[in-house]
Amino acid sequence: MAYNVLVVDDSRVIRAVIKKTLGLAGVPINELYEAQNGKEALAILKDKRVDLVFSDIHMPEMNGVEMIEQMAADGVLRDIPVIVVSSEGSKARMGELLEKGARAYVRKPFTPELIRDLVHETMEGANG
Amino acid sequence: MADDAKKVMARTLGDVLEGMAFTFIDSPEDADLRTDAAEFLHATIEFDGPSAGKLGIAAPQALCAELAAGVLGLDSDEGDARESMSDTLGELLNVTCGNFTTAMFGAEDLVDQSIPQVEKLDRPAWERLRHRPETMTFMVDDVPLIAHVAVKEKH
Repeated sequence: MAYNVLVVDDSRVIRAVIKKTLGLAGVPINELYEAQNGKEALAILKDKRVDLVFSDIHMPEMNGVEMIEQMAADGVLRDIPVIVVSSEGSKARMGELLEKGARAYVRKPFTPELIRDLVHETMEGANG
Repeated sequence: MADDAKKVMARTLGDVLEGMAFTFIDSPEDADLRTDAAEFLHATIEFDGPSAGKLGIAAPQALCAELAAGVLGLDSDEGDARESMSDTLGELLNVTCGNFTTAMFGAEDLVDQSIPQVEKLDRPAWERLRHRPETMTFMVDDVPLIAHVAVKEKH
């Protein structure tokens, strides 16, 4: 099954890196959407069918935490898994995000193998 | 603390450049830090947690384009690499900062990071930055790259 993936990051470079890494990881992609912040991401999520979201935390206009909170409060969007991609390593931050509804947390820099395993686990959990 | 911070910064920056840009930094004692470059980029980021502080990296623009090419998997003379060099330098520092703070202060406490700021430097500004006491110098493919770190302990 090929996935529709949404990548949310204010850095065009990181969006490109995630896209490249998904390719190297062999993750089957149908459509890849991009958003620069949580607000843009929510608009895409309400308009398109998305299977999986990769999101940064710190972004202007609407950050990743607020986006995850709004997704969790929405009866439809709450089922779409979000993998948080961040350079931060604090357990407190990871715990906060997982508690609010994120499915997984990956630290930069990451490898294609790590992304492949994480997508596999996350989508297995989402479909199982 | 300052010496520890410099060592951790050097190690972390090396790991991040290797992991993201597929390039290696070296810090030979007899490094020739002269460069003909006229334009440089300087990225800075602040953090606030158990301690607060500021990190920065700077390099000639041509090296920044090479780093962008490495991160994006492009040739350094491709337009996308040159357009992305500022964003790339900021992101490399952002990732370095996250890994630096975890290495310095552990993973238990929350550490807030600012959004990285990137500015252009001319040669006199580069030379001033290069000679500050908190600055470290490295070589990447025979091109100088400098980094600086300042940590303020909280009481």
